[in-house]
Amino acid sequence: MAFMDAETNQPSQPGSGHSTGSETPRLRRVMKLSRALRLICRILMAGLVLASAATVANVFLGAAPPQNGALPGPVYLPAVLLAYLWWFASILLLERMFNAFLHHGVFHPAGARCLKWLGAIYLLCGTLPVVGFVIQAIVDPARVGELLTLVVAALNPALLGGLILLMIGWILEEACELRAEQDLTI
Amino acid sequence: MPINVRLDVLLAERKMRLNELAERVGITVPNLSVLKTGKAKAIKFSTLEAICQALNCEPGDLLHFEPDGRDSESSDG
Repeated sequence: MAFMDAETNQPSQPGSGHSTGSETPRLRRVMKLSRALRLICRILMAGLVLASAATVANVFLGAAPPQNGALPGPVYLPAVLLAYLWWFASILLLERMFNAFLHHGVFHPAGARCLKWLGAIYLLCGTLPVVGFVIQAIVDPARVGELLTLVVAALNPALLGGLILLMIGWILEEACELRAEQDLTI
Repeated sequence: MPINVRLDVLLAERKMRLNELAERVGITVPNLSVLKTGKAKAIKFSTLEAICQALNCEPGDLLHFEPDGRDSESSDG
């Protein structure tokens, strides 16, 4: 792909958005920030792995009883591990997104894909309680009256956040296509 | 794309190399190559003007419209 300088009609370096001289400081800033955020994500991922391992060890060795009294023993470990997994997946996607930003710039389909996956995960997380409430209402018809209240209560920030992330991902994908078209304008 | 860029033909007719044209037009060889291979999505009027001046030709000499199969079938039938 080739880049053109709008002012001089002179092409600049082809490729990943490292185009004009005026863009270099901006790109350097993006790269610096992406590298730092990627490192933070990697540290968080390592921390999550250690924390989940410690949780499993605690439960199996009986070193510490389940802290959440509301959850029965057999449910505690899968629930906690599922929460860890959700966090790990989210941070892994963020790490990949920053990695894509670092190597290809912000306007690249890889970053957009990560953002859309992140949105899908959040959307799923926000949708599950609603599905749960609907199933509860089907199983126990006496609770149908509560259904609306429960569904409204289930419209949590994760649902909204997921939708927003999906939308941003879609916009970023469109921007990537526009960028590609612009790059191929001679 | 039904628009063909006949830059290679014009260059061959004038016995001019891509480097030389790039120098005259003020566009890099990779960008001219994108144009020559038909990968370009659009061409600026300023670029078109510069190429036409350098090659001493009309825009119509450079760009050639070839309708794809579907269009030609519908126009025939």
